[in-house]
Amino acid sequence: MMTDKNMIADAAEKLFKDFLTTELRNKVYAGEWPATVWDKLQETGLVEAAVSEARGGTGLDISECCAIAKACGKYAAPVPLVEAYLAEKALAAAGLPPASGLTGIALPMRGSHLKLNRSGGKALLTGSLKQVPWGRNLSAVVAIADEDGHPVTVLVQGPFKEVVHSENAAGEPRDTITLSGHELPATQAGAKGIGLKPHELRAAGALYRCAQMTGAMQTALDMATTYVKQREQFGRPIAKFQAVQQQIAQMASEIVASDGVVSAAIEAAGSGLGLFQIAAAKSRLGKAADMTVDVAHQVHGAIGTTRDYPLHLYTMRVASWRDECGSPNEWSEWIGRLVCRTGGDALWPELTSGFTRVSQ
Amino acid sequence: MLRGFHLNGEQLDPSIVALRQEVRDFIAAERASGGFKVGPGLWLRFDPNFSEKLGRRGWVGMTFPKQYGGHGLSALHRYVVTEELLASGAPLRAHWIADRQVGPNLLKFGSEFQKKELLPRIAAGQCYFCVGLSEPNAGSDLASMRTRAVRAEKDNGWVINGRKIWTSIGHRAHYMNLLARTGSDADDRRGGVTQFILDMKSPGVTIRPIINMLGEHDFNEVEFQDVFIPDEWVVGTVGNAWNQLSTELAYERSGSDRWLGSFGLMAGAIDRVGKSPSQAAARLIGAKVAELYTLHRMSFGLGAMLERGETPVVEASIAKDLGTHFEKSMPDLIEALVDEMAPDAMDEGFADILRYARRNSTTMTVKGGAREILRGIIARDLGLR
Repeated sequence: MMTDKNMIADAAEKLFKDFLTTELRNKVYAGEWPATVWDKLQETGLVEAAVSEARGGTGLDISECCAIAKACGKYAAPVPLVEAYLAEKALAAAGLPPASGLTGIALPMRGSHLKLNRSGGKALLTGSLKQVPWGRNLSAVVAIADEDGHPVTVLVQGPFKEVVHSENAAGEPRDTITLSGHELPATQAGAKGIGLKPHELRAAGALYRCAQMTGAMQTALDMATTYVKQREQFGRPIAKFQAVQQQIAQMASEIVASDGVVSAAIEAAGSGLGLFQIAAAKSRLGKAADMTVDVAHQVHGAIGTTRDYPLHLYTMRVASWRDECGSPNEWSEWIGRLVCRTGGDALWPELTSGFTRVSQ
Repeated sequence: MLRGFHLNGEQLDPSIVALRQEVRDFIAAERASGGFKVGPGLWLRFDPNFSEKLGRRGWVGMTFPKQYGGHGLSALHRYVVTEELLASGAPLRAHWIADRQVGPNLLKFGSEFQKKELLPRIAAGQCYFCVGLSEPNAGSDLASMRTRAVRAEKDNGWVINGRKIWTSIGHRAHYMNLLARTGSDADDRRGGVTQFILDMKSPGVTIRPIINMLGEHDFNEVEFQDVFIPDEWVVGTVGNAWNQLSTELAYERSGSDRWLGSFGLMAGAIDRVGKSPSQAAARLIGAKVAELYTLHRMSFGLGAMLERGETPVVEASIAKDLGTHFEKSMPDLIEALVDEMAPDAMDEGFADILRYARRNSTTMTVKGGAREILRGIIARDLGLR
């Protein structure tokens, strides 16, 4: 089991190592879609990895998919791979067939709204989807629409007429797709009230972002430790200064703690629960992200701030993912309300059982 | 390279889950019958009666083999019991050091004689230890210790001269786990140090109290003037203490005692804030609960590593550093939430615990390895030193 998981993550890592060249990065900066990497991912079955065997895919479990997500973070892969996994998760939960082509996900967020209106044999979508990862490149997007106050999963085929480009701090596309009476074939909308609820999709996204963050933070740490051992100032490697050592030790501690809580969240998600653990991970990683971004840049000095030096690929992803799918504040608030509702006496028994006994 | 704290589902083992419940039932019964009260000091209170009661329940020396009075259980069974007891604020101080680190150390390095002599009494909750590491001029730089043990060949033993300081519960412990220099000055600073077990009643031992800033007598200065220790009380190999110590420190630093000392404050604060917190209060509480959960998983993972026979020195340093800082932030959390509480919510009992935590948590990032030392250990592991 463990070996398989490592093998799959290793395959993803090798692919990223081989294909994410400086030349390709420069094309991505210029706004080009990294087709070579995506095609290769598709060829090796990594795009369909999350599709169950019953649905005709590879059928990797959440822990294996998170290992791939971590590899995406570790190599700052500029592709919507975890987004494909999220799209499949939503489709499967709603009983819709797996998508083909480049299919992304619209994660529920403030300002996003999508109404489904089914009447007279027609299904029409109207609304606006914010911060859709790689929205401009997608051939289809999966979203949770609102139909008379109930969630319904929809697969929206492009091309989209209104796409406003934007990006996160790492330069990853986060576009707004606006739909005005977009007509949906009946087969591409789930049943009313069946499938993921918006907060469940958001939590699933948060788990992937956490897994990606642990990978990117690990690379930032590796770069920092390598750099301070090489860089000499005042006649010796700066690694020899205690002030530098102490900062990096703190950063490493935060990353180890992150790995611990994220593995708890992955484990809990694997048994179908896990909202509390995911919330705890997304909340806890906020502090780790801040420390990692701060220290990694601080010890690198000016060179770390340049485009050619790849540190920002990792730090800016960490900083962006920190706030996506619910910021640490937002998930902390969710936990805070949960534990206040449950009460002080119940906190310890619930904490040690992962809040499996209370309604979340 | 740093390892994570990954569990393979050990926490879901039915015997672990059942044991947790058993401890909870015991605590509830003890509270109901007045066996212990929750009060300032929480688990740090020294209560031999309670320690013996736990011994009778089989919750001290749990990992010792049955032939030594133990129960042959795993480090994770012990972990769960101690975590539950700590969270409840039960008084554990008396047997704590003996159970946490001396027992496992003796199991690994002790002689058959030592194990037979001490382990059954430790497991009964009747035998208490203090630790003799720090000296007036050897604190964080422990390798500079000067307390010396000189061979007394004809008496089959060693003669100790020197001084130890910051010896917690030294005045109440039956034995000291003592480190003394046995090698020549030419030896490596870390070589030539030997681990002994010293009977605190031995002639030539003088114990002087040092009152801490909480007004308590916990610390002591312990002086040795020609104190004789027979050969059978040398632990492990002469000159090998430094290597033996790393195992012991992994036990000392990895546990939930580093971050559960103020748990009662958090539970109390949540009740006092009530069921409908403001957004700001919910964020503060939630962030701390997330930290707490992370520490819980880390310590549990460390328990699993110890059970697998690993010596997670670096990981234990990380857990101690993060855990003690968490504990230190607990009074800050309460201060930040006071405005959300009813005016009369800060009753004297709760205020007492808060005051104690404010004073005590300030010392937690020092005891058992100052944070600079812990971070130095982590930095060495990363190849920076």
